[in-house]
Amino acid sequence: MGGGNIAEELCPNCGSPMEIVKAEGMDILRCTSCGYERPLMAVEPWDPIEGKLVRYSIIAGIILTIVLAALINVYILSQYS
Amino acid sequence: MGERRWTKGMFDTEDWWAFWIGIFFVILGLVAAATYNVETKIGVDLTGWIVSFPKWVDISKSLSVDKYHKGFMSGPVAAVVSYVIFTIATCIGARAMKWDVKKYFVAWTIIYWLTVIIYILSRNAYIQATSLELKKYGIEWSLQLGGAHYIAALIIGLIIGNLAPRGFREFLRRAARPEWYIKIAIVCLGTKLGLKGIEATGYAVHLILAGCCATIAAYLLFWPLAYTVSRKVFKLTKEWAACLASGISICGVSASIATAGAIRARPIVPVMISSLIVVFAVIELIVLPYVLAYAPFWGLNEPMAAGASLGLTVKTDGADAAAGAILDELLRARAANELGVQWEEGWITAAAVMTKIWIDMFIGIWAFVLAVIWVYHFERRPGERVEKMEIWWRFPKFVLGYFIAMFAIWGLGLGGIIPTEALKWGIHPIEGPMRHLFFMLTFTSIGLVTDFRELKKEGLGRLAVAYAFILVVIIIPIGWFIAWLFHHGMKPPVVKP
Repeated sequence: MGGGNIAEELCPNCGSPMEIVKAEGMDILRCTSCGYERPLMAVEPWDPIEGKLVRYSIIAGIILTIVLAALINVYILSQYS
Repeated sequence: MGERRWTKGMFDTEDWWAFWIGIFFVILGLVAAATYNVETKIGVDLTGWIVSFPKWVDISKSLSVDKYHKGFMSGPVAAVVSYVIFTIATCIGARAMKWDVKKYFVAWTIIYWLTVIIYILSRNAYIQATSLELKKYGIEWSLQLGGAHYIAALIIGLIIGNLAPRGFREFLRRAARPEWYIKIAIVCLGTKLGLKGIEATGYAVHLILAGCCATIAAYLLFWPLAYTVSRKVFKLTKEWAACLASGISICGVSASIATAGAIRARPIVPVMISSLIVVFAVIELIVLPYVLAYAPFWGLNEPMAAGASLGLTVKTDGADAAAGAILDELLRARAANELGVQWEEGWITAAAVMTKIWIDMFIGIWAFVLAVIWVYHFERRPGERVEKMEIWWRFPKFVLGYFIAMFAIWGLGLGGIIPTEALKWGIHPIEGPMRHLFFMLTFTSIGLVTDFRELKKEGLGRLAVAYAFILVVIIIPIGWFIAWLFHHGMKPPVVKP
């Protein structure tokens, strides 16, 4: 389980540890020795494969919820109500 | 990747060592049971030394041994013997995992005896006796706080973990291993379902099937919704969103780490998310059992659904089983006081653990799916293949211990190989006192490792808001609905007179 310190990310430029700092309202990773900066979280466009992954998961989830709930209710839970 | 064998981690990971230790004591109980003669009531007592903590009004009766082994040894001696044997077992594991055994030993010793003291004090009958037990203890009133020992251990742990001098709390954290202790306890819980299943086979099978179906349904909805909200509402990148969605949907820290491994996220990503998961799981552990125990819709109306909902919504194994244990105590106390019925102990906890165990098993499968998508679609690494063995490597091994323990007892009991009475005699100290003790160690440890200062750290702000939002808006409502849909109407079996 968690606790402990936030893992260190090493600078791709010089290999030194990077620290998280706030600048202009953004969290950025800054190298402690060479000053190289990169955003902690950049903005990435939504990829079509993400849409497929999400869509198929939700469709599968809804279908399985209905089918499995029907089976469980008919064959198991009906004995307890 | 190609050089890794299926035996990887078998003797140097916490997960496997929970399996080994749990299974070792289960086998000890089975050997004892095999030697037990039901007519002479004599057998080789290999498990009667495990200390138990009954409710008390006279403190000299606050320590005991299992109810089937009365007179085997005194309670205080059992506490010392349990300390010695569990210390040896966990130190062997610690050594195999290459921890600093000397420091582990000292920290474990402090945590063990601190837990024992908390356990004794909070089991006082004036604190915990139900209205049905007042006569038994010769008292006229009680606070009737079922599960007070768990909350007390958590609170003391939190106080030390957040307020004690830094050096001391860091030292104690060497042996504060909630995930390890709870996994050992969960293997022990398998014996409970095994024993109960002999008498109520149909009910146990129903619980297993309902838990499995609920988990499949919930998981396939949790992950994509959590991912979409992370990406579209909170503008997280793919690596952050995938790890956050796995952490909050599956089984917390390990899912987040497994996903990070599968998609090759930067190391900072799962670690930051893990610290959030741990803190939020403790908040859920404190809040949810009381909400579920007293909310009109849940409470005494839907005890098993309430238990199952914890497995779907509390995202660490330790906090989930711990919350299940509190809910179990609260609801059984309410049922005794308000309905005049005594529900069997452990079924509500089993419902919480069962859904969690199924959800844990998804880690391997989902890590595999994500690895395939990342390798073949996002990163397009030429010539790289994802091994199917990833599923096995990511599989939580303590779950094997849980099922092996359960099915071994089922098989031996239902097959008539060992009489049920003998199985109870040998296994009950593992199923009851040992499991409860490791639950308590888990609570103390959760408190010790939970540092609320983590929330103040730079970079966690947006993640914390995203986590809280997804938990409250997606995970808890859907988890509650699914748990109800697959468990409604189920009540724990009533204790036979």
